[in-house]
Amino acid sequence: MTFLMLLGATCFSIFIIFCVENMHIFDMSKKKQITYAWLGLMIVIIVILAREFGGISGWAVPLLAIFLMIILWIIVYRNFLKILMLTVYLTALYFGIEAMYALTCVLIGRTPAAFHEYSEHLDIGILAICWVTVLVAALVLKKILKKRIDMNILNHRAMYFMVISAGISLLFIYLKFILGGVLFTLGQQTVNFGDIAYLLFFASSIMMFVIILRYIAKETTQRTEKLLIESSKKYINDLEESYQALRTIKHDYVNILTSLKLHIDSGDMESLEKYYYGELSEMNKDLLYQDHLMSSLQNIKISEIKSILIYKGSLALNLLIDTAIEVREAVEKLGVSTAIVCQILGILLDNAIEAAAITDEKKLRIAIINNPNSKVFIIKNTWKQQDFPVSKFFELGFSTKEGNRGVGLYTVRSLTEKINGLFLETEVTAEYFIQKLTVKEN
Amino acid sequence: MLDIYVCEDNEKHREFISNFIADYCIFRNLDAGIVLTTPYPDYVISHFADAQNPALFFLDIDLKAKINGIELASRLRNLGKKAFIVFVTTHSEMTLLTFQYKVEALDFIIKDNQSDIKKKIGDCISTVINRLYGNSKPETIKITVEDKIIFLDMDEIIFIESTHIRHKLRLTTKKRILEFNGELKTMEEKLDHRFIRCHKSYIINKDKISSINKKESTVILINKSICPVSRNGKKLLP
Repeated sequence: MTFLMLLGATCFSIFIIFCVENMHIFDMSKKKQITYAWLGLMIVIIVILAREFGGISGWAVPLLAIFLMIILWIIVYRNFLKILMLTVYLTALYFGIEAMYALTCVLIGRTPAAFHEYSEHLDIGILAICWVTVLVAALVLKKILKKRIDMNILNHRAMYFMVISAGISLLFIYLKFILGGVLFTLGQQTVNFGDIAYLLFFASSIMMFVIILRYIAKETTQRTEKLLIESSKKYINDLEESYQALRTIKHDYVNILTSLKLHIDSGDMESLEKYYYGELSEMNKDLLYQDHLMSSLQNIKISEIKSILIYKGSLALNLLIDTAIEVREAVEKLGVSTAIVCQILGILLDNAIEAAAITDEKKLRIAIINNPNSKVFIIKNTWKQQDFPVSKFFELGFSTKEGNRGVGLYTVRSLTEKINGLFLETEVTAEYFIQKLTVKEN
Repeated sequence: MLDIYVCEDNEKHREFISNFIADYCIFRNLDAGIVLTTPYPDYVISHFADAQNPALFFLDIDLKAKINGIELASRLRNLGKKAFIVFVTTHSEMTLLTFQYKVEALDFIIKDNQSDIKKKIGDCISTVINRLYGNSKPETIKITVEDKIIFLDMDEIIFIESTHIRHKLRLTTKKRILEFNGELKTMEEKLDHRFIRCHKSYIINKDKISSINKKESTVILINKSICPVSRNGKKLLP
């Protein structure tokens, strides 16, 4: 039982150290960290000296250390929240090491006790090992969790929650410090108040751990959902626009038919001829061309992908860009959420159209290629070559156009970086800017 | 010796191309020559299947035979030998992205302009000769992006980094950025001495460093990318 309690206490302390270390509020430069480490060491030395020669003993030792630390931080920071966080951090570190020390004592068959209860037998060797183990454990936890959880989550509401619950848990530790030696009788048994404090602390740590984990899980799903909602909003907007484009085509046809009727009704063959071969043939060229563009899309069986290509394609045609879409084989399913693929395609196509529009050749080629295990979307457009390395385009805020926010490709990268089964290849030549998005099938 | 094949159904055109190639090789004293000119794709396949030398093919796309040039090309590729393929065609729509992607042609030559053809054929032959026998035969590395295999010249690679997802890497050259599945450790083994693991998430090309910032433990590469350097990585820096 004691063993389990101590193990729980150690884990909990490590967890708090980890949380505090990862909070935004705690970040400082390496240089500062080193300075504080030295100051901390000095305080520890003062405390030890005070214990050895000043006659201070019992729970006053850790309290003295904390007190000195707080004074130091008040001088340095003058920020209440930071001081609170640092207090929590240091206490957790102290307690973690103590619990670890007691745990080791249990393991090697000694009587566990808090530091301040030792007089001469405090084994510096074991203490050092414990110190290192706790810090390493926090580091390992950081490594493991950093890959799986977005650390930014820790910086919001979770932080306040953590400070409060850590504070409550730590209250128990101090109760133990203060009342550690007090015995009282409960029925026929004599109970050490310190043990009760340990037990309460252990229970609250488990509760807090569970709550935090659930909170993080919830927050993560919420974030993904938010991302999806945003991309689908953009998609719906695109869909509306493409519907609008279709209506314009319809409207044009009706107009043509009406004017033809007018010419026929008036019986003026000459003006009819002029209209048919002159104005109309020009118009027809555009309309027919648009038709040609659409016909290659019938192989796409995913309506979202199809509509975004129709919309962006007609957008390009309106800007007089020579646009072609090639889909030779049926495209039926993708291994990645369609909304995300649409979002990426939207950004890539917007960029391609923007770049092609200012060139002389004005060319845009789009292809979807069916491979056995993947689909490849190729977007190739002419561009005005610029003397930037291609990696520059992916930086936040970089844009070749003035006033542009330059978030597009940055967003694309953050998506391909987070989602399995999406691979982006970017290539530039003197003439062309080529993007290849490979989407895994399963 | 580089074997050159011409497969073209139009007799006049076939002659024009092969005559030009023969002249080009003789005048420039190149170690290359035409071994077969034919309108029949089957002949090309059977001849190439027995051949030993690396080969350069000039193929028409519409061959008026059972298979077209594109299919012929993919069959030649499947033989797994060193083959360079150039399409000579009137079909401008055949120069589609889909085909470019699938057969990895060295080039597409449009027949319409005669003088242009000559220049382009010449360029193709020189490129291939250079790639095969050039002094600075570049070291390449093979990268697989799902179904696609890509060969990259090592001296073009600036750096390789890991991403948020396990096993997904990103490779940057001056003109190209590639994302693919792999591990930095295996990449490190495949690359040569020019490359160093300056950080656990980065492999950089030593030749592409533009400056080193010791104070902040970073390297700035020629494409202005900034890479972090770990303590172990510092020892590897020049």
